[in-house]
Amino acid sequence: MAMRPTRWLATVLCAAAIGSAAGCHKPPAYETNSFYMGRTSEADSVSLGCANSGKAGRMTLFFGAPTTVNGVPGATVWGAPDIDVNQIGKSVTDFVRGYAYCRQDPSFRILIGIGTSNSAIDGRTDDWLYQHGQAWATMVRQVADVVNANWSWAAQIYAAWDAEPSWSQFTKANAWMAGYDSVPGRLALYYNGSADGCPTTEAGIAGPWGGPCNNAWNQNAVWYLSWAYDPALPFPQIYATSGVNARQWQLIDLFATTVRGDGMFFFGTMSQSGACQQNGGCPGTDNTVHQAWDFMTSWLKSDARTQQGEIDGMTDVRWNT
Amino acid sequence: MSDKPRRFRLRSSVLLAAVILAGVGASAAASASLSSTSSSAPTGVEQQLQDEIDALRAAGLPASDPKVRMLQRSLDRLRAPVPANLRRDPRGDVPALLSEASEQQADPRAAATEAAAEGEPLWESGTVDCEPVPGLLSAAEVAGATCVSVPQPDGTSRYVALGADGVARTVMFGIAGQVQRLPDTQVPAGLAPGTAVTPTPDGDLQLAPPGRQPTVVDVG
Repeated sequence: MAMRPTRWLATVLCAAAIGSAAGCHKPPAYETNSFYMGRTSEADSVSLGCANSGKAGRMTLFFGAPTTVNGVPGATVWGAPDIDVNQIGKSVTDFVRGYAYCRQDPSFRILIGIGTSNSAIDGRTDDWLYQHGQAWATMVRQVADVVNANWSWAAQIYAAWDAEPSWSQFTKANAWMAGYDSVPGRLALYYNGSADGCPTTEAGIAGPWGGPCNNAWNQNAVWYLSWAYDPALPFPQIYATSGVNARQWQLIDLFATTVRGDGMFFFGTMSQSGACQQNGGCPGTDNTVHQAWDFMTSWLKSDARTQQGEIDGMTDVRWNT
Repeated sequence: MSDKPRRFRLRSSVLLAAVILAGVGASAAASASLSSTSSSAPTGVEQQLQDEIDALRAAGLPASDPKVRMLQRSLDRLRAPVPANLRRDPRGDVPALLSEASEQQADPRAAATEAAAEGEPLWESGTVDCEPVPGLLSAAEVAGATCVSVPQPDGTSRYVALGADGVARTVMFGIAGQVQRLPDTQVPAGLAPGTAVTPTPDGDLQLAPPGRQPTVVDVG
């Protein structure tokens, strides 16, 4: 099939810009890793930052579910004791220290999302979740202040959120996000979420709320959390080697464009091939960072109503234990 | 549901402009914006942020849109002049911390022992909030379960979700990114309501149902 003029031109320009003949892939330094955080001591965090000093661009440090630690908002840590927001902030600052110290190229800048999730929150009240979202936004802003004062030449701080329909009711996730969004000066937030169960064909887009997703979510709910909130920057999980996750997000974008009149812009794609290698394999959901980006780019370009010029971020998540 | 200002889809008509901005970084707008804060060429990430801002603006978002403003602030901070007395390691302790981390990676058992002795154990011990483990333990598998973290003598740990169906679903957490789902096991006699669940020093799990003799479960 002949390539349409805009797509042909995009390929030529991208190849010319980054010296790649294979589409718009970034140089390897811009393929970042993100991490599920299991170890957060000062030495561990500094070491992790140093280990990522050859990378530039967007990435996320994922802490676990929202919780309370001795009365202070915090998050779970995989395998390790829960930590409060102050300890989380220190761990991220330590990561930046290691990155800045070891940075392999003075042109590199790392854009770090401090992540939590919507897992295990159905038992929380809406007020608790709202306040936890506020606490998270405040912590992220405070970490950013420290980083800006010391290492703005190497790093910038964002929030991040792994929100997945299967993990909680929509109203609970929304309560957290509303809290986050209520804080003056809150920073942008990578929406590293999934769209599990959402429609995979255009026929699935139906009515004002779009088609259904898992756990009584719908396309509108995913769009609302991942884009309609001001801080939200869509940076979704594109794991399935069939490409179906990218298709789901493209259809959410199509729903947003055609029903809400408010289409999305994607800031990156997240894959999990690194984590899959560490845990013995996850057949069918182990896209490489390039495959994820290719699927998302290809599906967005499949319809003029969802095209966007470039997806800038690409990250592959791994375990840090 | 949303009372947010409407944003506009990046249409084909503006795609070309956005692609050119993204691809070659040569637009006058981008250059003017970047050069206003620094005379040096933008780094790759700075250009990426500028491209994102340009694409959002080309799609119809005003400069006052919160997303645009958040990205612009981030870009402005990156472009701020680097201090003349830049110090990569203000506290002067990064090399020592890197050495410490390296030693821990080399001997996880000793690291776990030392951390526990210092009152900062590497691993949780006891019952914990149940939550999915990405890619390994699903929300459905932890729904209604009792979850417990069980440190092991070898410096690793087990995260065990004891389901109401009497199945123990276990994930092993080790040093250096070693995380694996272990085979499920059936807990003898299931998990009666009120059962006390306690990790043992040997890395097993003791189950003490009310009024009955405790049993010990090997969690792998």
